[in-house]
Amino acid sequence: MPPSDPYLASRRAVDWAGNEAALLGRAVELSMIQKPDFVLHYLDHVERALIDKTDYKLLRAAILLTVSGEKSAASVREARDLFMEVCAGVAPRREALYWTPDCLIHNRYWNRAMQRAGHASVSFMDTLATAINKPEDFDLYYNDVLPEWVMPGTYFSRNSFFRHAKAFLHILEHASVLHVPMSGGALGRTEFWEMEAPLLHAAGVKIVVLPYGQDYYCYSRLRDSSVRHAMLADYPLCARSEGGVEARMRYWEEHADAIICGFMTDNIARWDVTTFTAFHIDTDLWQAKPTYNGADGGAEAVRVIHTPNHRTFKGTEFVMDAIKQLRDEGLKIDLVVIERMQNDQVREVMQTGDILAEQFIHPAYSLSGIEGMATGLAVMANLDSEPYARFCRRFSYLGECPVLSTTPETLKENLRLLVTNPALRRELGIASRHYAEKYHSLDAAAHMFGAVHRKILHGEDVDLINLYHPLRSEYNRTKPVRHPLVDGHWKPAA
Amino acid sequence: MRLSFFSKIKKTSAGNNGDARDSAAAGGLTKHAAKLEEAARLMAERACGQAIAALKDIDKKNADSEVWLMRAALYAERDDMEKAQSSFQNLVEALTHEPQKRDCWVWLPGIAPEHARLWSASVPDRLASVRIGADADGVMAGEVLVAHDADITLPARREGATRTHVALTLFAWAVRHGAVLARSLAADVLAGTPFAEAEAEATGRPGNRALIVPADDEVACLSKIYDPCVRYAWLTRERSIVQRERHLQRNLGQWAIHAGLIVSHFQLDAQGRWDVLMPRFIFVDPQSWPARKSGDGALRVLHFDDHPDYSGTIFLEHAVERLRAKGTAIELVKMKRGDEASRRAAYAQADVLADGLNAPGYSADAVEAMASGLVVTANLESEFNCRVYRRYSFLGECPARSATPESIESVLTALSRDAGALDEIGARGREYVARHHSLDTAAKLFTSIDECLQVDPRVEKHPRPSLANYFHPKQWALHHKPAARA
Repeated sequence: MPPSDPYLASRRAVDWAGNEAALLGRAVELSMIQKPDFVLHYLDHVERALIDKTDYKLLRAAILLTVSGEKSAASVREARDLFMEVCAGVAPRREALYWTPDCLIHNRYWNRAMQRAGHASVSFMDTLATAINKPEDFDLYYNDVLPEWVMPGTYFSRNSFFRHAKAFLHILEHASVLHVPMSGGALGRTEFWEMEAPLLHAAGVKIVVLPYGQDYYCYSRLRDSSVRHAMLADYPLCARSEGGVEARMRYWEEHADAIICGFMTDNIARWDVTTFTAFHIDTDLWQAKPTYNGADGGAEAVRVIHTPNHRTFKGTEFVMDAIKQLRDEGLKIDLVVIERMQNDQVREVMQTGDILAEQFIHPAYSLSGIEGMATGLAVMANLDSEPYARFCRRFSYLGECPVLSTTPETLKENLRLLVTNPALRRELGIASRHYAEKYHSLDAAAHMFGAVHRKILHGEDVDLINLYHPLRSEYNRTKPVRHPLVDGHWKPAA
Repeated sequence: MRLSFFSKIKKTSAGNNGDARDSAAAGGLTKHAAKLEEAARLMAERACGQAIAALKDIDKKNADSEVWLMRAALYAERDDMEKAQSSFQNLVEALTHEPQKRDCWVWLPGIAPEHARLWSASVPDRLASVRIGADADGVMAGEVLVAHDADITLPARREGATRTHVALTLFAWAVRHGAVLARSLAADVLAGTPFAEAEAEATGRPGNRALIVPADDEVACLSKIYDPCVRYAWLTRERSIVQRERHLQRNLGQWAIHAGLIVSHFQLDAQGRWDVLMPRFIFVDPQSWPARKSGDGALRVLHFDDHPDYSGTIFLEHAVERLRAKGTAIELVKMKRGDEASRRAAYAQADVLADGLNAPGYSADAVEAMASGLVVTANLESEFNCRVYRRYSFLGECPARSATPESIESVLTALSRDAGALDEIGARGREYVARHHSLDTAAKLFTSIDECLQVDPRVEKHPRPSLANYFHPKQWALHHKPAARA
């Protein structure tokens, strides 16, 4: 032990050499106050005590990266060499599909879809977002693969290279296909994010990139300035990290085996499946509402649901304003605003609704819109943004979509239309359920990912980019969704 | 008004112009005054090596920002760029950690002097207003515009000081005193010094208090502008702008990271960040612009043709010729923009100001013209650039008539046929300016900006209040009397 460590001097009575957890704990503390010499000295003692040499190497690499004040090119190089050495020792089994790292509900649905279709599939999450998810929603967490000596709440159990490297090794050993957002997988938040693809590919693991939003948006490239403004209002800090997002985008364009980005094509050179949105839900859980009422805002109120987790982004103020104006005109409208609610509660509330006023700035329907469609509600969302919607109507399935396309400028009139027209609500609601089952159910997810996996894993000749082409796709032509909207707009018969 | 390095509203009892101690005292730094004085004297004699030696026994631990400033200037003068940059980094580090007074609204380069003077009246009372900009010789200088009761002492310029030293001194003073550092994207205090490239980070690190007001040519990253007509317009106006593309993008990226607040520019295409969304950051005193008198003859159309291809002058000329050929009483007056007096005279003789037809948005001239009761035509067609201002700002209330090269003839036709409309639109223009571009509006906005930037992100746990929806019609209406939407 270094004799000048005052903490050690005061704890002479403790048998340090035999207490590897204490040694590691002290090493961690020292790494955080940037005492690299002490840290590595402690680690030398830990090495003798630890059985798992892999852990030792990763720990050493992590500490070399952690002591950033003293970081040099040499220490980063040593850390990288250690990490690569550990990776080279992994024997890949390629036994399951993996979904990582962000605890987002769509990972849960995709995972479940593939499990239901008979595939071995694991959702492997970095952390748990508790506001809307439950721990049992996902199969495995990064902390689950940490060794026992890493105490919960300590530095290495939270955000360190060690933790992410352990998760990566687990993926490397078990995954056949890894599904990640544009920010990458377990290495995405580490200094070695650019090593993720080569290491996975060397192990025979395929990579599917599925951007969802924050991992993807470079604000200065967004083609809809209202979306840009809404992003700036709701997520202002992302404007400061555009360089990092762009670098990852260029990286994955080059290295991914498949990219599925839906309508989000602002700043991307490549996608492999032309789909409007890759979100899917469990339509068995999200049952269609059994009956439709005849309320028309006169004697009986019509219930409008709005789900604004991000208010500017969804255009909440425009919804409030439109409903106020319609109420002032005498229409009876109940507004139910759902925010930060657990999913099972959302399902119950949706069953009581007539209309889902989903989002009017973001140029698409989102997960909430799909849930509304699956429930059989008449859904309103912005499908008017030409750069995003047109190519998905031409080359994908958006032409079948029964969502009433609505912008802040048309919100009041479209709301009036749906509130006063229960027959139209019913017609759109039934079509919506059909659409959700066809394109956004777990079966639909299994269809899409099955096609992708057949191509990238087994080399089958699958025309992914035209998977949903209205004229070429057998899947699309089967049971077309019929509804009275044209390009998302309702034009009454003359 | 001539800029003065020796501007001083109230002298402190201990203050002496031209004294190093005085300059240091302004920043609360007197620790190494004697050595700095000696170094300054040697620098004036261009004995930079000896000047550096005079400071050599002040070690890194004891050096304060004044010492690093002097070292950066001296090493720059000796062309020892590695040490100059290192000293500059240490200067920024020292400025970041030393107490800041934050008692001034500082107008930095890029804000026109006449605007700084006029808008100073709207600066919150708790702050003095100071301008820093290049003097006639291109050397940075400072000017106290409004002091209120504060004791504002600008650093004195030393005899024989290098340009770099002068710029660094004013930069450091601005960082110490600026509660708000208003500037454009590209015009730097440190322009022409080896530290210009680092100005964004150096301004941002000590508390992110820069308010960025981009100028037209600072956001014209042509590869990011969607409308090729606008690209064409820029290429005709300033072809060299394509050589600055990388620099402009770098500037935008740097300030997106380091600015306190960024005001949007109408040409939003390349802007990845804005914090205040308004069609044009321009404020006038509406009372000082007399209302136009109704004409009873030909429709008098005024047009500033400083950049004819950019503005689409030829389309305007063509439209006027066709109208005259059809017998419409219409007169086109083209002139260079000139000074304010000449513009006032021109507005008094006109009914319509034909603003640019190619690039989206309205100009500062359009605001003056609306304040004068003229009808303004401007290109407000671009879906990308206009929709967001209608949804989230006050463009929906703007009475300017949208006109493009294709539609200018029909717009002028309609105006020439309806003299009553001229008066009505003119009156609405005056109302619009009073509501959104007046000094009263500026005063409210500046107060909000000041309150926002008072929150120090390095210290406070809560984020700065968002001004993104400051002019949102649905929220603005809660606080301000609504006007009829155009």
